[in-house]
Amino acid sequence: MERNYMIITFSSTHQAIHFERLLLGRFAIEMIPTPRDITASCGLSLKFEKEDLSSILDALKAEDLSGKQLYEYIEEKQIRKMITIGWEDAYATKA
Amino acid sequence: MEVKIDARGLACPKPVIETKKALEGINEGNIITLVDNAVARDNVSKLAKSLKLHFSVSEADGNFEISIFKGAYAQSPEDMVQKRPDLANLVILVGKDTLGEGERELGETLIKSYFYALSESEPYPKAILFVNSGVKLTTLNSQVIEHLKKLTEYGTEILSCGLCLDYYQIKDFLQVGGVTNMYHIIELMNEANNTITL
Repeated sequence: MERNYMIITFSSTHQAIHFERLLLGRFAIEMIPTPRDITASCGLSLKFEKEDLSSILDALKAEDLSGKQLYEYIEEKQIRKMITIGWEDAYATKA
Repeated sequence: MEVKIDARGLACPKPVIETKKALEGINEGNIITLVDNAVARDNVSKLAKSLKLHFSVSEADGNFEISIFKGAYAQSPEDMVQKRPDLANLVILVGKDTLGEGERELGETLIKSYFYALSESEPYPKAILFVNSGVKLTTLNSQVIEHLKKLTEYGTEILSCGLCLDYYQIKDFLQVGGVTNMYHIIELMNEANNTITL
């Protein structure tokens, strides 16, 4: 069973809470402690399913994305792969 | 042997105490306790569960009948096949709906974060008890509820204090786990190797 999900990390807790407020209720997002394999960020991250990525990117269009990093996680049979995704690439792939 | 207890109209925790006494009084047989409210039903059921006895619940005319089998039936077939991860003999007492002292906004974020991480970390606790405003987490906080549901799948017992639910008038909103009373809370904490208070 493969499971794909996305993580956004932040450089400050306030940014994390701001993004959560922005998206909560509109998307199935979860505020989680930042996964241990990501070190360069504050302790809070947003997690959501990959299928919501496109609409969440739309919702974040007007936001300042500096200091925020997008990751994709692929979990398969206890093995977890993490891919760092640039915002520009994310928007380009989407379009 | 069959013993019937009419615990209708008895205040909590009387139905549990009477049932327990009756169970201690027999070696093998059925104890049937009749109660007139859902909280008493849950508490008596929980007693049977904690004693690892097989039981069934039926409802008629707004009353509940909890039938507990002691002796030869003590282990139900489901108990034998269920394979669950090991639980730590650890009880977590949650006394408020935020984590730590300070800004409420941050406390709300931290408590969500806490239960997410808890639901990802083995061994899982044996029980999590919610008292005072902690009961808002099992009723109104949809994100925490998801993590708690996951924990119940691993065998963690989620219990909210009945009088607290009553005080905040959110008894009808309970989304995960059962309702308990102070006697059961004391029992669980006293029997645990370790209790963490949040």
